Amino acid sequence: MPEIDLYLWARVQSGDKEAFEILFHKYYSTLYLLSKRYTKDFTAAREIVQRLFIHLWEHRMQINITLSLNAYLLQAIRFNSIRYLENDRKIGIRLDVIPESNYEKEFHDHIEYAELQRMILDTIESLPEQCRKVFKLSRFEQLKYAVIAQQLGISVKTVEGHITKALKILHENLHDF
Amino acid sequence: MNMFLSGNITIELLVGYIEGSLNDPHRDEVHHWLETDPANWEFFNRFKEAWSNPQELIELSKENQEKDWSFISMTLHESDKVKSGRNSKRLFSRWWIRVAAVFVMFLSITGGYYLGRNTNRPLSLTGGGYHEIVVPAGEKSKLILSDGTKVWINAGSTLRLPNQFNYISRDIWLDGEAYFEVTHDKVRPFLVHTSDLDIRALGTKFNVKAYSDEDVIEATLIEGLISLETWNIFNNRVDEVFVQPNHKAIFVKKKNPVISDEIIREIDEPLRPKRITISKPIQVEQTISWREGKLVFIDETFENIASKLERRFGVSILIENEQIKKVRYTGVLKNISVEQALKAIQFTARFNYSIHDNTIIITDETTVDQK
Repeated sequence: MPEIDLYLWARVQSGDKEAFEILFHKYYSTLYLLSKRYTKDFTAAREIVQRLFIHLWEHRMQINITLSLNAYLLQAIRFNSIRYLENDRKIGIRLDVIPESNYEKEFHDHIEYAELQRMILDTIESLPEQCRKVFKLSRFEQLKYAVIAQQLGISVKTVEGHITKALKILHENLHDF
Repeated sequence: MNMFLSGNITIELLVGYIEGSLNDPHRDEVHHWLETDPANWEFFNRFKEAWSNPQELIELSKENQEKDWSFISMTLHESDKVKSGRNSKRLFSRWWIRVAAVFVMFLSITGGYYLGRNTNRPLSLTGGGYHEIVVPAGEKSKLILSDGTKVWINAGSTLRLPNQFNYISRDIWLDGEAYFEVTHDKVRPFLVHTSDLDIRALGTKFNVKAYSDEDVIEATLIEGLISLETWNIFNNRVDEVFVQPNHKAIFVKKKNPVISDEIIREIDEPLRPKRITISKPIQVEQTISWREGKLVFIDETFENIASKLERRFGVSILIENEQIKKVRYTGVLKNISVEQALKAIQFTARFNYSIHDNTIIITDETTVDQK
């Protein structure tokens, strides 16, 4: 996995936008969630991630990554999110990232959270269609099973079945995580 | 493997616990699990928090992600346009604007100084670990790298390399044409990165032609072994193609590319976009003749010849007569000025030319030159 990232980063440095897009989609959720954990502001989190990627592209030749692109990106997001909080919530991006040891535990926790949440998101997106629909209605719109059953024209038992199935799949995915 | 979800503890159980819908025996089971290991407790808290934030699922919807990507993509386009300043019209490639645009890019990225524009001395970017060597149209350059590898760089090319090769590989980035004689290094492959593919070499002699304003990338092997690696988006993996000596690999960047006659003669199968095609065995001397300052044309149209002359001499050539563009010429031009080149071609083709500064206008012989 890390080798794929390094390969993709080398392609990005030679101007390959498609490789850059792959990296974007791969890291987006984790970076957004991490930034949000720090800033507690979803608009700021989104903007920090966007600006980071733009800066990454514009300075790609100056970023020499030989070990882990993942680590670099996570540190960069943390660094810029904390700066956002400290600089009176103004968004400016810096790429020369130096990890600070007193934040290690907190940082580690945030990453774990982000990875977990991302796993849940990915699982939900990969559910079979009806199952996904039911699950989203129950989770996002907080609808009772009876209401969902009525909306979709199925029995309450079927709704329960879908929820159970979704949780089983989630369990399998997290177990292998 | 998630160590926390052991035994009977399932996500379904944890969700039930969080939502308060479990019966007593099941609740006890969860309590027991939580008490067994503080790591379980930590995992539970994390999961509980994730489960309590379903709106994050909405925030991270595919839609939003696509929207954010579109915004970024557009911004990248804008910043790249400013940087390259390259025009798609080949006959009007004003090299001095291209070169000026390159320096605008240096200043905006580094916000700092650059050393004088001398093709024998690499330009240094502050704050990075890289050299960037820009060879404008009309010039050539030769380097010896820190590992002993020799590189010849053709006109209108840019080469980027790190101050120091790292311990994994020797990487350079090329936009343009260069010929390499790579020193043997068992441990570190030599990688030439171009816009669409990478060329991997161990101890070899090869030529790479990868101008960003052209539709194909060519890699010709003289001696040794190289492979070309492209990222296959559909399979999400790297495709690797090996090239034998005296063969050329051709990668087509897009549908309906502009291809030179030279290439058409060298292949015996059709070219497909985003694919690498290997040529028939060829005379490699012709491919690398540019190093000796030779220009070789075999049955090439005047149009193609003009664009080679533009690159080689750093001029702009405007052909005003459509028929003249299609006239074919065969010959070798060596170490001469652009005017001598035009005069040589005039032996076989009929045209007039007039030179104003760095612009040459080609007209048919019946047109009277206007000053």
